[in-house]
Amino acid sequence: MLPAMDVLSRHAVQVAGDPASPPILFAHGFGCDQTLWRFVAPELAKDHFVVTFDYVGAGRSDRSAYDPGRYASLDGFAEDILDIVHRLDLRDVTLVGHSVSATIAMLASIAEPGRFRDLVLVTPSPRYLDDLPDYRGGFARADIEGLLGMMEVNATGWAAYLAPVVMGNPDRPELASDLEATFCTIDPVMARQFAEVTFLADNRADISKVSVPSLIIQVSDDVVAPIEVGRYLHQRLLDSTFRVIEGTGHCPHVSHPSETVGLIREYLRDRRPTPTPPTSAPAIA
Amino acid sequence: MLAGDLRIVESNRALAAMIGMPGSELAGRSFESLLSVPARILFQTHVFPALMADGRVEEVLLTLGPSGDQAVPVLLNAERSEAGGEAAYVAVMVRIRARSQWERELLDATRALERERASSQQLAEELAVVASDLNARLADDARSREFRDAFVGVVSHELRTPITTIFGMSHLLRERHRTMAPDAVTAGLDDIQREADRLRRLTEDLLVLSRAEGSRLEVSDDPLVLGHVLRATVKEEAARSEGHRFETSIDRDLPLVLGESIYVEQVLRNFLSNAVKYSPAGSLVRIEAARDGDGVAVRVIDEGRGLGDEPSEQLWELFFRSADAMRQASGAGIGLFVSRELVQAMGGRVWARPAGNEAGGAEFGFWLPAIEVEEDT
Repeated sequence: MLPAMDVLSRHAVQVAGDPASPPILFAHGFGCDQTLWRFVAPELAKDHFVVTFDYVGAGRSDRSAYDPGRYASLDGFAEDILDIVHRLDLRDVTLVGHSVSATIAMLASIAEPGRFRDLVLVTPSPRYLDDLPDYRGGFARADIEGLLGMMEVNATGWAAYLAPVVMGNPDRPELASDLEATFCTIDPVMARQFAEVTFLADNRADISKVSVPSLIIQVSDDVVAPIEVGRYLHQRLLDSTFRVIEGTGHCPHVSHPSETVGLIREYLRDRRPTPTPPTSAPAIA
Repeated sequence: MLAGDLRIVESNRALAAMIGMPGSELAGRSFESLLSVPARILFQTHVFPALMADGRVEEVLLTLGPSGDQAVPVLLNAERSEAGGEAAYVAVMVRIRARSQWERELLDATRALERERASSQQLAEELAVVASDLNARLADDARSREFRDAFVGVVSHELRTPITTIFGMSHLLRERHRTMAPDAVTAGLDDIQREADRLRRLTEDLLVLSRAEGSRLEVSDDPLVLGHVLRATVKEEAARSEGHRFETSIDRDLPLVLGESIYVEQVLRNFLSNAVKYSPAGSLVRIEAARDGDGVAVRVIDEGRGLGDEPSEQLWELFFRSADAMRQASGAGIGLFVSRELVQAMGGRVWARPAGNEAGGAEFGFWLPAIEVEEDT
């Protein structure tokens, strides 16, 4: 057993906003790291306590903490989220999960429903593979194998692929000075396992176990998480709200940040009950 | 050239040829639609975020067209630029059939190298085991050479003393017993008997030593009634050492122990003869046996000069003799070592400590495990 490493450094946890404000925890999806939230998180940090983090192996997490056993299923990732929630003692959390992290968020809320006020599921999919005739996830097994192969080849030139990405960019001078110089870096071993766990998982049976209210944000043209998958989820997910952003792509928080923030704000505003002063002394049970 | 929403604005003929589609049909299509299904996932999860956030990607392997064997591998470089004040992207794709082949080979070679490395690492580990084995054997050889030298030195000395006495005295008696005073004859016979006895014990210890060296000390699982063995041995030893007083205190209800009676005898004799050897004539030697935890503790307590300054652990080492002991009596430094070997072979332990009585004295003890008696409850 390794000595208990601090959860905050293990996951390069970043916080912003007033700790007394309602907490929002952002969980990044497959393919990148917490820096993808930078187009939406600062806006929400104005009136929320915003927490972002990297899964182990991604971004600036502690890669030495990568444990293939723990991350052999999405439950290990859900434990990461719960570790962070406990470490920061967050309560009534709004948990925002992108892509596979939408599923991970569902799993975390099933494990400890009391900790979460609501879930925001950005381009979720409970199952990426087709299970015909009843379910169309969008992909055949051969597609996923093709992806894994392509990732493997890219991994051999991974550094070459990433190095230019993190170099200073004349168009965006703020990037050059930005400390987020590890943009989208993922350990190839982690990336491969994450891809396998993500794309071969089937969490359809977990949908009905979710008791926390949720907002589903889908993009009208998303090849990774088709809109039908979002509808499928919405129909089976208790107390869920389904909103669609017109556009293309799998990362609305990057491609359509203001719409994404708008939908989250609108949902939270409608969800939050206006605090009412107690009309009578609480009854003694 | 792509628009901000990644739709194709303009493309060259090379792309059309690559796709196998007229260039006119390409305009207006999304870039993503050119890709194979797996490449679309990679594009959406890795390439697009990087492109949006940082404005460029370089050398990403993607495949165009239908999935499977017909997919065309390409290397994508893309960079954001501007067109009429609007965001736009320039994407350059290089068909890389050859490179793809090369990459595949590189990957295979990397894997082979990985396997090679793993197997050579295994080989190295095996070699390390063999080496440490050899080292251990060399060390063993060195130890046994040392042991043999010490052994020959000590034993030849220890054998020579009694043999000299026996040889000389028997010769003397044979020649002159008729003319000698009867007391002198008796004294001479006593000398012979004492030295013969010493010789006998030494050979017994040596036998144990040789067995212990080869880890061949065998212990039967027959239960042993310790009280009988102790009383008999003390009685025998007391008869031999008339200069000392012996006192035994053996608990009545001692449990049965796991042990070999001849080993227990030998250990106790060693302890008793040491007690006699290193304490003044007329002093008391106490033998105590009592239940102690899951076994029985046997203690031999003398009124001698105690253990001296050496750490008590050293006493049990082979051929060790304390400075004090060497001044007081001769000895081989084998008895205590052998005693410990025997006790340990029976699953017990030994100790030596100051007796804490007025005379100073030493306590040598051993402990043997009791046999578990299953209780019928």
